Amino acid sequence: MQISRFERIFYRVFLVLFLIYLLGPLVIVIILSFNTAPAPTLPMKGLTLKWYKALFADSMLKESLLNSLAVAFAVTILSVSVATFTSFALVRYRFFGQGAFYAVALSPIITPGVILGVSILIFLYKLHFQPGLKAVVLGQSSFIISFAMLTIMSRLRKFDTALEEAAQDLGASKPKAILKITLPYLKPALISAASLSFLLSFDNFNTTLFLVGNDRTLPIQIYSMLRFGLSPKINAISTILVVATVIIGLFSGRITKQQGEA
Amino acid sequence: MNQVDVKVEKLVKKFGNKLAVDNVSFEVKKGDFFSILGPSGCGKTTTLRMISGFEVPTSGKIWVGGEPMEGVPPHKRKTNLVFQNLALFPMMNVFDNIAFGLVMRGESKKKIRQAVEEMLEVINLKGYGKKMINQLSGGEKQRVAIARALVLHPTVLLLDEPLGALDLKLREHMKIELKKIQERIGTTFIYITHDQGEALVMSNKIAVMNQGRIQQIGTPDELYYEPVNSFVAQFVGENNKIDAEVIDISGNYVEVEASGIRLIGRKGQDVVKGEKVNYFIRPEMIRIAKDKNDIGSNVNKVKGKVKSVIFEGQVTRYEVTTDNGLNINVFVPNLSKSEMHKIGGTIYLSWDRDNPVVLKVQKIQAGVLE
Amino acid sequence: MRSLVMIHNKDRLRRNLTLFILLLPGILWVMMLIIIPQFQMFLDSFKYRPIYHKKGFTLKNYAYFFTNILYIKVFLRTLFAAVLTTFVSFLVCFPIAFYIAKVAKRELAQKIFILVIIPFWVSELIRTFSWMIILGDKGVINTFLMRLHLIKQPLSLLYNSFSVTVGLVYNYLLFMILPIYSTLEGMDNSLIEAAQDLGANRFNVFRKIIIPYSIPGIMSGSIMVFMLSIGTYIAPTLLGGKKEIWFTELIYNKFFKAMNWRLGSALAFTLLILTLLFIFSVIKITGLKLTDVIEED
Repeated sequence: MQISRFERIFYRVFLVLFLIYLLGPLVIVIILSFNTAPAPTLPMKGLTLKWYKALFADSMLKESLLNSLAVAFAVTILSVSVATFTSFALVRYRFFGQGAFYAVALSPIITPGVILGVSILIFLYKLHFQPGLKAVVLGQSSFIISFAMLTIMSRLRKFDTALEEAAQDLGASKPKAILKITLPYLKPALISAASLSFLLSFDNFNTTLFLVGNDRTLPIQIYSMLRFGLSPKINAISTILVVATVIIGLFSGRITKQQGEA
Repeated sequence: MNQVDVKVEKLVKKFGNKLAVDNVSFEVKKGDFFSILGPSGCGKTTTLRMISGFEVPTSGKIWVGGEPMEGVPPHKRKTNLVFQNLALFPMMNVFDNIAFGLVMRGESKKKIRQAVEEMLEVINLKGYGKKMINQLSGGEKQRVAIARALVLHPTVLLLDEPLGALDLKLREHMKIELKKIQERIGTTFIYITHDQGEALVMSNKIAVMNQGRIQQIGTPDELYYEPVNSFVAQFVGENNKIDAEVIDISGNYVEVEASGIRLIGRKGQDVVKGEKVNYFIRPEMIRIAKDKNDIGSNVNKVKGKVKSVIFEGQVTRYEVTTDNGLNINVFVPNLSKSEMHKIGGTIYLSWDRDNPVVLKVQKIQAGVLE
Repeated sequence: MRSLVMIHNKDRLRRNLTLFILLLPGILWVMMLIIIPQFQMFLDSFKYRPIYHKKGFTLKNYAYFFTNILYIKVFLRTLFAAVLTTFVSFLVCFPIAFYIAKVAKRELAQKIFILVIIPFWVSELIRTFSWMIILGDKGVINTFLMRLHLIKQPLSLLYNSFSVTVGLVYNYLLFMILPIYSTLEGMDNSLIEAAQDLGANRFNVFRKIIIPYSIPGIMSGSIMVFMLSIGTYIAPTLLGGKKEIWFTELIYNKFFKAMNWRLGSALAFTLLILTLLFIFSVIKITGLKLTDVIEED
């Protein structure tokens, strides 16, 4: 679209300010993780890696990281499989109550995470199911399945069922046709649904808070460290997480893009 | 060579209350290029999908290679289908696409390689095995889709309007190509199309279908010269349809009156005196003359004026309005460069009594004939 | 005929069986993790606290909430802040979404797009933490300004509603950009050109063509930002003042500090109703469908 010079300047300035607002805070977090000062603040007094070393000595942090990884792994498996089954049912079949089912299945996306956490806490309590990591897996899955389902459904909708019929026509039974043709076609969506699920689970706080009991996931641990007082140690763990998530994000983005084009 | 490869008997398919296929029966002999021709929605695709096993007939029977197909799932039928949109697997290369069926059968790697390479040669795509589907042109995709099915040596190859997506020029080319492939390998083809040109060029047998029913089965020239009803006369080839009324019947000929003039034609269906009928005469069977004396011995004569002249290369198309108000199209083959008739000029049309045919009036869904 | 009927029945049976198997995990999920828990919460909110040993239903919990001026204040403040956050997000995000979708060249747009998305891969907690470092008394801004001798005392930027809003906008603005971007992306440029050709100036092109066209995206973005802001626990507790507590904090306190689950349920259910009301009034006003709103993202 053609725009005037004035508008061009406006957009440029606005965009630069916006990007500073967006990326500045994270850059500052990263920079301050290398500062020798005992509190995360400017100016830089000297460069150090001691906050990173301190992380490895922190057994609580290590334990919560392992907890988070385990939870995220379980949530990913659970969410992607339930979402795959449900997507097939919703895209391939017409059944009674489908519209209502679909609406309820998507509703967790627009339900505050706190409410999901509270309601599942109450329900599990009624079943004499103790809060803890298993409860967290269930609580997080309640909305992560919806996200995974949206991702898978949108690709499954684009799938031309003639491909499956072609495979059957060429001698594959229906299950084999799905295995050989449909699932490979869905692979990019399955990968992005899995990485999305992992990320959402790994970062989740609002729902987890109500279900975690005495176990701790990494966000819960970091939160309690933050309530306790700011320390450059938090900058260090944040930096590691930022770098890790950005790498994973870029990597999975590339994979899904490549596979999506095929 | 009289073995019947596909037999269909009293096939019916209902979708809810809608009758998609209505009592269809036909036989396809070994080595035939059999076309099912009809407008969209006539039930031809449904018929094909019942033969390939993707739809279950409401009633009726299907035999392929002499075996009844009742309860046999698609992957166990000795039929293979070339899909309308081809349905090539986008995540596989050409080789893997063609090999798919053989892999499903559990053939040895060596045998698969050999069969696929052979097939690539048949379709003139040697060395294309490693290419991905999205790197192929429209015509190449077409050939891969056919090869993928043919490599399994099906009893019958079913083709569901596979040329529909191609542009005009490529379609003309593929028509010939397809016919050649069929002649080379001798497999029985059942070809679905709404394009009568495709059907006439490629097939040795055609079934014309409309509103779920078979209208006529015959060779291309039978359909062209001896249509059994008004629908076939209008759907196959170009035709002048003239509304008329029966005046007299004598033997195989019928005399009719149309807008005050009398015309004679062959009796195509049993008609009675006074019945409203359609009188059909094909545009290329009409002689056009400037001079009344040039008409010759033709029994049907009409005087008119040239309304439009369209030069189409091999033929020149004249639209003529007769003095009594009929509109008639005439094709004049351009055997050599010659002067054309002028718009507005008076001319005389004439034809004999064996070419035109008189058929009963048939109600045809609006929009079926474009 | 008879065998054919049997084939039909067999086919239908197989279809229904497959559908049932495919749907079973989904039904379990929807029932066990969405419908029953929320219904249970709804029922609980009408029950007496167990310490009273009283059966039956009561409106006491709601009565307590709605007559307590302190609770009402928290409720209204949270609601106002969430609306404000949504509105500010819109103001900030629309020009950016428009620029990426319609103005910037393709390659530049892709680069900006990645830059915009990257921060959102980072945990919400870390993003909030970054603002604690920036806005604190010894934070980046105050240190900087004091070094320049522009101020003598640190400005109190943190622990108030300003810092909460800044943090919330920062945390959720992607959810505003994405849907607006995707509607604008789908808009045919010739619409803009046609309007210009018919004599509309820049302002009118925006007012009459571009904004109305992007309404579905704006609405879906607003729903997400509103819902996420009103329902979060992180930014309000880390960036907000001790006295200005957030509604979610109130719920948490009822559950884990006062151990009054029934009242907590009533509060949580009120929050749910409020969110639903917001969503449905948006849907009602714009005539969108719920699934459109969600699938927009």
